[in-house]
Amino acid sequence: MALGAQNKFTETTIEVDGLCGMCEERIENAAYLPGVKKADWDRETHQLALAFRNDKVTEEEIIASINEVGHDVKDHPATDEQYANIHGCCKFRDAEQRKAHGLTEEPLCKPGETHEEHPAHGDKRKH
Amino acid sequence: MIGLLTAGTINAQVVDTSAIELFETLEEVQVDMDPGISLSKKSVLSKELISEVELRKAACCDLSESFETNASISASYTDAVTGTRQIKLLGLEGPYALYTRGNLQTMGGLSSVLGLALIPGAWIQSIQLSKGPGSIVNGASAMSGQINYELRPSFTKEKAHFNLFAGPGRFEQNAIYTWKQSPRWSSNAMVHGRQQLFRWDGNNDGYLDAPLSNHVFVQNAWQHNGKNSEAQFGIKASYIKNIGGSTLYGYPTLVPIWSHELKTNRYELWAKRGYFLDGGINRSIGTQLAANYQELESYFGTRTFNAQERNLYGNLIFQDNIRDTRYTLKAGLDYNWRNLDQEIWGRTGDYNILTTGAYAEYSYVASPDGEGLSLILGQRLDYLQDFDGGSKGFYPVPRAHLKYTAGPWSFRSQLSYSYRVATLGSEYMGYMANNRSFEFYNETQESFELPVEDAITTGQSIIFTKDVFFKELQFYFDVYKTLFMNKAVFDFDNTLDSATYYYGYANGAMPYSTSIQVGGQYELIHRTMFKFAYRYQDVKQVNTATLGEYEPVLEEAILYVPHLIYGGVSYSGRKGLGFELNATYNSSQRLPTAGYAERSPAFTILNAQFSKEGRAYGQIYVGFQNLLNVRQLDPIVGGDLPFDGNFDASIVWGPIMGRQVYAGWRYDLRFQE
Repeated sequence: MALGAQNKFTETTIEVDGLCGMCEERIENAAYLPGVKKADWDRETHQLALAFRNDKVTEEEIIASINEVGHDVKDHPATDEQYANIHGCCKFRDAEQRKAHGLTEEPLCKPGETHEEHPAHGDKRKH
Repeated sequence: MIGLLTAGTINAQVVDTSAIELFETLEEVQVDMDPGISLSKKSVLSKELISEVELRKAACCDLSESFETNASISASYTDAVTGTRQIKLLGLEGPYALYTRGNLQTMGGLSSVLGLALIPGAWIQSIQLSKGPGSIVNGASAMSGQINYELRPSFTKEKAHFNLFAGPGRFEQNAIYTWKQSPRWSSNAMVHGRQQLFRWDGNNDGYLDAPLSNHVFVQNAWQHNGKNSEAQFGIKASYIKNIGGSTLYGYPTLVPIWSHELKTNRYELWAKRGYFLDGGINRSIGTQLAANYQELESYFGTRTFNAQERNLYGNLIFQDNIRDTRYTLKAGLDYNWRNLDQEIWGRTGDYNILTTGAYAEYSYVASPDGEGLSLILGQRLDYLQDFDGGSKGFYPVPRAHLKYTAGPWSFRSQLSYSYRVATLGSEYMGYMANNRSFEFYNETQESFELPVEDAITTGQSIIFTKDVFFKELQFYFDVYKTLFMNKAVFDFDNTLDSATYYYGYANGAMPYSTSIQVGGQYELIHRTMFKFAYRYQDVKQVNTATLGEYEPVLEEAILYVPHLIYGGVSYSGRKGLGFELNATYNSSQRLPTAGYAERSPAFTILNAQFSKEGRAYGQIYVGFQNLLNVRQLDPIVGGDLPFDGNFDASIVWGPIMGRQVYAGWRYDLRFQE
């Protein structure tokens, strides 16, 4: 975590699962809460680059907002109810869909996996 | 980055050197969800990309109405009866720009003004606006710039798109349906309907503010992505019927009424093919073909204007890199045949012209991300033949564009020559809505000279782009000057009941247009984009009364806006809520000397729009146009005695309609994969 020009700015990146341009739009829109200055998700690396005013918004709030629209954040998966709202072509936990979008690595979270039995993902994936 | 908010983000453009010329812009817009207006930092040409997101910010019903949030282009009515809008770029009327559909020439000649109404906004994916003459690959016209629009492609995520719109008495329907035949083939069909059903006369002058109209356009386009080739082809049919003039049209009356009817059918066929060739890095060959036929029947009171136009266009483009991708050579051959038969003002304005051209263009890009120096040097040689009038000749057309980018700064400079054939009649259709007699200076029907206009354009621009507090701040400044050697002009100044047409060289008095613009944009408040622009223009025309003198003089042209100030605020909320507010201040415009006030009043147009988007119902929008209810109250002079007074509906400087409310609905149906 790097500090911005002033101490009140936090710059960081978090890993968010997703597939396509539609996902990108959804993720960035969800992350762009009041106080957030930058939310830029990379479709290749799945990294969401964030810059925000830490006196106005917290990283947890941003993650919760991303979960709310159905996307999994590393170590913070969305609930199945939240994931169910995602458009059919964006079902990023689905193996077929991942293949169709040229993704080779495993999803952060597999279909049917509940929050409780969800393993810590850690170092399984490389970018 | 996020939707609307990052308007101004330089999106990942395909550099000129890495794609087949034909498909270059197509790939550019496939970058998903690019927002608003962005000034290209990479392109050597001065390009503004206007995305669908930006087009949705205004009522936007056809191409002529797509620039309400853009200070570079002014749109105005050609007259008070036909409802035709025309755009002005760099102070020059619409026909001085080149219109292309996916970089293939479209409107010209008969459709050079009316054609904009044939492109429904809902069909448009994006618009690319280049100021000043662009690449010689697309021809030698484009004096004021190039307006390239991309229609919704058939390789897309949307299976269907629907749009309904309702304004005061005006209704529009659009439907687009896409088929994916195979991974290589796809096709889509587009249908557009527009009706003005009610007689609207807000200013109570006895004349319709907008003509009763019925428009139906149908199009089918195909796309093929082969292993080493790409192809696109399509067919389009358009039908327009408008009735304008007196509100009493069709009713029995005691006195004759002044009315206007216009009926036109246009049929278009086009095909583009591109092949990558073996050898070389990006060696490719492309062909562009277009065939258009249009017929038009109309009358303006007692004046009739009928025309048929046949047009064939072909372009063969070869492209290769020299040594490496930094150096590109394009070379090609093209032809453009336009046969126009028309009956106008009691004389014929026919022409039957063929332009055959050969061209070569060299470009250099120091680095793929656009840093450093880039340049384009082009030369074309055209041979212009007029089979009717017999005038013919060679036209060498040189063009040079230069760009230098250093960090946040981009400097551009251009010097270009261009020529075009003006089309009497269609380009001045608004001038038919009056009782003026037309005097053709030094010309008779027997010695009609083909009006070949030519000009030299210089342009300079600076763009500054920098992230300030993680958000992009953008400023630009540009200066363009177009200097005409030969120009056609209608001079309304000399008397109240005549207009003088003059074409040619005015012995040292060279008409010109200067345009200076400065502007910027920044997301000042969270999710709220602010834009501003100021534009100054100075347009001079030949004073035809002084043509007999040794040194004719120039005078200020009529009906252009010398000072324009634009401000826009655009909010886009997290839950699909959107709000737009756009204000444009237009300073006073010069009116014809005889019979009018010297200048029009200055006025401000304020437009607002609310929209809400949701997955279940698509996007709903409600807007207000002309909130301040500014109107030109007397757009028709002498309307009481249209047949014997000085009836004139051609001098329109401002809005004819007052405050208007509109509402619409858009819906995208995505493919379930």
